[in-house]
Amino acid sequence: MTSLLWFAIASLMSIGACLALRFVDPKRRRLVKQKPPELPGFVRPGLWSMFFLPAIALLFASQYVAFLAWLGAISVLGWLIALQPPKQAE
Amino acid sequence: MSFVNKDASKRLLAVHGWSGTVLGLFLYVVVLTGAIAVFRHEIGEWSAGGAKSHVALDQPLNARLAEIANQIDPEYLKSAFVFSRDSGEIVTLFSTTERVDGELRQRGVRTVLDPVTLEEVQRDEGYFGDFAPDQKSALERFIVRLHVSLHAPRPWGLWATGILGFVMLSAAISGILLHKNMIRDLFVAPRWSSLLLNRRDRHILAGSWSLPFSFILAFTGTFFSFAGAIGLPIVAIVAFGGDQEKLIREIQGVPATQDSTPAALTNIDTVVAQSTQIVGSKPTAISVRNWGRADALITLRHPAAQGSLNGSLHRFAGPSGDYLGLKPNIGTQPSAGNTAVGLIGPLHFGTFGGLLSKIVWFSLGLATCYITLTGLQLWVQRRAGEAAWAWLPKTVTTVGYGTGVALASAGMGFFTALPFGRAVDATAFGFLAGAAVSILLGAVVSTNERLEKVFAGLLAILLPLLPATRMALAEDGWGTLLATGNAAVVSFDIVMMFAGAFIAYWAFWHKDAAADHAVVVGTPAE
Repeated sequence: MTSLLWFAIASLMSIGACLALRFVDPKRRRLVKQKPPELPGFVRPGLWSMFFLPAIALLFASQYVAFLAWLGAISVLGWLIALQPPKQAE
Repeated sequence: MSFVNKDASKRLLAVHGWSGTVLGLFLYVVVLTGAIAVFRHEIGEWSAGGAKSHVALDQPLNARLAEIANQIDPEYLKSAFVFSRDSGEIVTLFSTTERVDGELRQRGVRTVLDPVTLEEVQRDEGYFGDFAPDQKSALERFIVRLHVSLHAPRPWGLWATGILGFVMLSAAISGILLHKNMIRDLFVAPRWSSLLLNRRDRHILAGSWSLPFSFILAFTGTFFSFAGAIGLPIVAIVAFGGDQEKLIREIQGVPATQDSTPAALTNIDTVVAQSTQIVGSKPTAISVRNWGRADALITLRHPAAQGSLNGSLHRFAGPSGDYLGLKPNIGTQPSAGNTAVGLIGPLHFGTFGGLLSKIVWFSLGLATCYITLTGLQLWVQRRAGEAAWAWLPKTVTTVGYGTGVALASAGMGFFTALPFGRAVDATAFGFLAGAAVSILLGAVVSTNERLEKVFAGLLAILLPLLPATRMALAEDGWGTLLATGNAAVVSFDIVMMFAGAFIAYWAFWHKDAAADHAVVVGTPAE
């Protein structure tokens, strides 16, 4: 598997987790006067694990190029995802 | 979780704010040019109107190099270096090192070869530092030097950018200590309950997400600035009794045994083919030490292989062409220091993963610019209404947009003067003219909001003008460029046009976010 493929899979997984974390983030929702969704206790830790799991997998597989590219891409994309203002209906 | 008490927090905030305010605008220029310099080779190829040939060193060169070696002063055979420019031209440097006024200088012959015919198009002899710079790479070189040293003379420029690296590091560390809820706030979008809170949230959000890279880029950049300007002279004094030549020999890993017996050099083409087979990629540079002697060594530099972070050096015996193995960047044996130094380059330049990592690193650079500017805006907002700081908002806008305007203007200067062989001077003149116009606009335009629009309009015009000017004065159109493997040039043209259109859209047609979110009431500022 090439570095690009490792990177793509890892980034998609982390972006998915990032989008979900944004949706369930209690402080983000509180600020627009929305009630945080009532979720089982394992959901948020699970999503954070899903967010960071690619890093462990990439390092374990010695995919250092893909790891650094993932880390950089996630830094920028995570920021852009969080930067989006919440909608009242979110 | 709070890392520091209230008093320490106040002092840290003062250090964070003042260091950022005093040096933030310089830091912004260094980071922006650094982000652009990630694409230095693409810019080099684009500004040269494409490479005449992409074959470079992967073609029969042995006969031509031997011919040049036979023509020159044998003294210059101590060191030979062959590489290709972004324009495709092959450059050979034959030299010896001399001490002049206490400084080590290289003296020798530089030849520039046409990459297709291998005909000599230029030859210079003398001290390398005195040679006229290459015109076709003037724009790329100008941007890189602005990033590396702000065009200040050595070592002052390197010290300045090194200090800016320290400022960035200290800002990142103090930022962590100051922001007690960093993890909890990672998904908190900037609030609109007040402009101050909005500015603060924007700065913290970008800073939190970019934190790992703020460290990486600041540390590696500081290393590059100080390693040559301070680190090496100190090591030379401490460990080598001030003998810099001995230090360089140790770093380069020159074997202690010398054998000046004459011996013909092996066929370089065979060595290149062998090395290409071993590494799996074509070499980007060839160096030969002691050409024509029994102790001659050939070293080939290869770019990072697939899945590898950094490039590699491979050594061959000069007379026999026998493979001697991998050559560490420092010394002759693999070491932890060599590995660490080998990682600093890829981590700073972002060149380890081809176009993908370059795009990522460019984006990280822009994110860092955003952090710098939002930090300054936050400082301004906290002092809104204070007469002593009334000059700062327009200054931030002038430097923020003006650097882009000046760089685009440098590009205009480059393209218009390249056909007349004056690209080096015109690039610098273009930059200064763009900077002067920006400063003038900053002084003349009455309000900051209007100034932002004026600058955005100027950039929206200048950026598409760059490819238009390039195409008007270039020999090859898009069709020819694509057919000759110069897709990078066409891509850059398109990127510039889109960048201009995007800026115009954002500045003049994009709905103001403040208007969108004015109704949302958030929590008060912490």
